[in-house]
Amino acid sequence: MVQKKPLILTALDVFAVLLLLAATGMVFFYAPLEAVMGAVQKVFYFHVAAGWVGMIGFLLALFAGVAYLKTKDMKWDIVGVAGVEIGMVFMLINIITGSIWARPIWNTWWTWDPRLTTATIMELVYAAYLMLRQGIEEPEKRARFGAVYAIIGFISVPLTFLSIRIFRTIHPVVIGGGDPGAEGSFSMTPKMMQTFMFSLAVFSVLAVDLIWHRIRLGKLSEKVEQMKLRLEQ
Amino acid sequence: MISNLIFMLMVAAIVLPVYAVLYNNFNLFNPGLLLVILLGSLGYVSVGTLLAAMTVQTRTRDILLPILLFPIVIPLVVACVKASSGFLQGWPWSDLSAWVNLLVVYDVVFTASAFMVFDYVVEE
Repeated sequence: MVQKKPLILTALDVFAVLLLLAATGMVFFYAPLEAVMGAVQKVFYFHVAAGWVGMIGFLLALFAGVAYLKTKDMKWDIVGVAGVEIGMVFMLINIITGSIWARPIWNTWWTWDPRLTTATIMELVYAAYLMLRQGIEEPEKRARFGAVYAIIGFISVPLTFLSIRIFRTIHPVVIGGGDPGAEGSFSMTPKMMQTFMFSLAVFSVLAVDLIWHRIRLGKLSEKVEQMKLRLEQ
Repeated sequence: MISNLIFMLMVAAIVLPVYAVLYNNFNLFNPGLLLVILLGSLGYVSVGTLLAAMTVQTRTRDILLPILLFPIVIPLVVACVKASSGFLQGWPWSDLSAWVNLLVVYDVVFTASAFMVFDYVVEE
């Protein structure tokens, strides 16, 4: 009755763990020490990678929401939840690693900078998404409203970013031009660039692995729910 | 869908006098301020109606609406506050235009998307 775990998923698990170890090794031993900021700059590789994966998760939720409203297929709902949950975890990693970096560089754990505020609001939007789902009992309606809110929520994120972008930011932009007001900017050497790209790839693999697991979990819990219904009848 | 639009306009008509009372001390006949009020309530109403239609059908409807609405309307609120204070203090247009543009963009984007997804919220 229960699906067996596919072999390729197990392989992906092992692969992701190995890659993560390799990336950690690369961050610590391959990438050179940044001249001004020193060792704390190394958090940057995983910071950006986690943010990237978080955005991918939310984007996935958006597409799943649209697909659900189009097809009314429950599997898209499961994909949407998976995207939101994984995205939230990685955004949180992004925020926490950012804090660790900001403590010595900006001399504060937290400041109401545009980037930071946007990230917080994004977490709030998706926390609200999860609470909305909690409040609805019927699976069909839950899926429908979840899809609608995932769409609306994702649209609001760039607008929020734009709204505070009009104020100036102190968050450094490493890739593609920097704001002169940014504090703690630096330019990457080739070895740093390789490490950075590698961590991006590793986190992407990790995200695919986790989302896959979450989708399987969602399918399983759907099955459990159906069985419970059958028992009650 | 037309009835939803009328409903939205009705809400806007209720909201406008409330704003007028709240801003009693200011010069109400500032055309810029009226524009901001109009754009701001349009955006707020389009998102608010959609989310309210969703939350009335949930279990924890009292708490859920503000939780859902707040993060979504933040850009609108920020732009409204900035634009109206700009109009009241007579900023030059070059400072103001970014905020007014943001208001217009927000209204267009959210009115359009709210119209697109509203059918899915009310269908039974």
